[in-house]
Amino acid sequence: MNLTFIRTTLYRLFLLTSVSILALNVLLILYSVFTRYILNHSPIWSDELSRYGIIASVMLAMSCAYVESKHMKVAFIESAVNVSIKRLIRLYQWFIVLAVALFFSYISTQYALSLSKFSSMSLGISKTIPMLSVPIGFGALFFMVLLQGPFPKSKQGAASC
Amino acid sequence: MLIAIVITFLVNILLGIPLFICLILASIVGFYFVDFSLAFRMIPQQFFSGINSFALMAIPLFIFAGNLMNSSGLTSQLIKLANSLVGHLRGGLGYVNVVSSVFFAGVNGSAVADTSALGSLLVPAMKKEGYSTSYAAGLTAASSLIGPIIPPSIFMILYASLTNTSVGDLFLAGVFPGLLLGGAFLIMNYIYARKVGIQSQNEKASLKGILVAFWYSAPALIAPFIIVSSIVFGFVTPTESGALIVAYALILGVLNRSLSFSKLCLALIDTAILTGTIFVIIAASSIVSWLLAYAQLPTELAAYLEPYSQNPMVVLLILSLITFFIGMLMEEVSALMLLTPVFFPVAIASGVDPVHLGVVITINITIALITPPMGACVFVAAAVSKIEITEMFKSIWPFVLVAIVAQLFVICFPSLTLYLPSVFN
Repeated sequence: MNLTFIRTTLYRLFLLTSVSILALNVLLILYSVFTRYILNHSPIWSDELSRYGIIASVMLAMSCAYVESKHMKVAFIESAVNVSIKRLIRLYQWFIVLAVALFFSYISTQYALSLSKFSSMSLGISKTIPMLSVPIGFGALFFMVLLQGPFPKSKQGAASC
Repeated sequence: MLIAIVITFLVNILLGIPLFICLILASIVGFYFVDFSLAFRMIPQQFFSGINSFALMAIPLFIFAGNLMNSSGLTSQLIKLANSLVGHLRGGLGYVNVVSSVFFAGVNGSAVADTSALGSLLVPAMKKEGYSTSYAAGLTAASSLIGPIIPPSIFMILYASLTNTSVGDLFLAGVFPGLLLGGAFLIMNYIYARKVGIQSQNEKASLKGILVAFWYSAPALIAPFIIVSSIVFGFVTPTESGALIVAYALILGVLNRSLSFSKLCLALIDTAILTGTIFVIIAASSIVSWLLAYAQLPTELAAYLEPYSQNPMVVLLILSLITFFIGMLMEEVSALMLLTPVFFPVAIASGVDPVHLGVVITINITIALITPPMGACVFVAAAVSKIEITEMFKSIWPFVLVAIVAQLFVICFPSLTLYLPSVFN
């Protein structure tokens, strides 16, 4: 089992989960529209669940978007310098994204755990649960960036799915 | 603190770090100057609360609906309709480009998607008709600016969520400025076609041909009316309107038998990835916005603009100028997220209407999509037209100038934006 296999499996897992949550979210909002306007009775938890759902979907898609190089960035300097400087810049990019992902994962885990005594208004669940999607998302980003390495040979395209 | 934030942001963005990471880094540096112990609580809290909004749920839904309509081939029908209407005129394909962008605006709302879709189809055809490549690519990029102004508009949803302004009013307010911008580019194309002596290669479509094109594109043309009317008349919220338009696009795709399961999956994947890139920027911008508010930047700006506060138009002009230059250096969503909370209290205190301000900021941010050095539409247009980016940057300025003139009209005549909301309210 090599690193490419692990990376591809993780990528598929994150993307599939993210897309599934997004699809369920669309169905949930359609269901709430149906119940509100046809049955005159809208479930009070649907707004909150769809908000938490989209945050979870976004946090998982973030790591897939990174691997796909879809995040917005400027590559002026990178494209204007010679190969050795370009490699240095790539190394810096890799290190910074890793460091920020790890730091964010750590502080958001701490913050999520600190919310354990608070409950959400409609669903009545601990606020830790939706908040955990942030450290999980940054954790996923950390592992994807780590496995991809500073000098990826090619993008892990959606085609591989 | 502000200087440290700006330097950290600029250095890292120039080194190719993804924008949302740059914003997080800048906020970490900002907290170092304020109180670093706050960072451990405020950074995750602001990140989460920045995207924990039901109003923002409309964004993935409108993106998904646009992707579904593109996958179903509905949008290509819009180009055929535009071609049958104006394709036979002198410089016809230039007009087709602009009119298609107006039609696309009601379906897609994304300028970059518009540039990509229209550019790959129309730029090669325009070259054959005698247009220079740089002009054809420039017109494609510039006319796509209409997309985020005519509803549905992601920028307007963001502005509304930040300022508690009515999305319905903003959508209505964007209609005339969007058409004005389209009209300005049509005039520009008329002058260019006359000057260069371009002849149309298309024959005038018969009435039957126009009606057939209209029939096939009608499902896509109806979409913006469903969105705007359902919100304006209070039937549904913007998010629910997004869900309805998704259902509409799905039903159309199934009825037309043009939407396979694989196309549906690809549309979902594209939506998830694009939403992921947009939402993390919104979330990361929320942290920096909080820091700027904590540092009392809006108050300082208000004090600086105090001498001009009696004249809302001057205030709008100054804010537009600042937005224009910041928009040149920043990605549009983050610029909107950072500037709106700072500008809104200043403008409202000067008597500017919040809906008018929303449209002006949206147009400013949108113009930044074609200004060097970070105009995303210019990059896309250069890529699909296969010309050097430096050549694109040189040739884009006349289009920027036309857009600025249209923007000045919008600033100087608030009734252009406020008339439709006042009629429906």
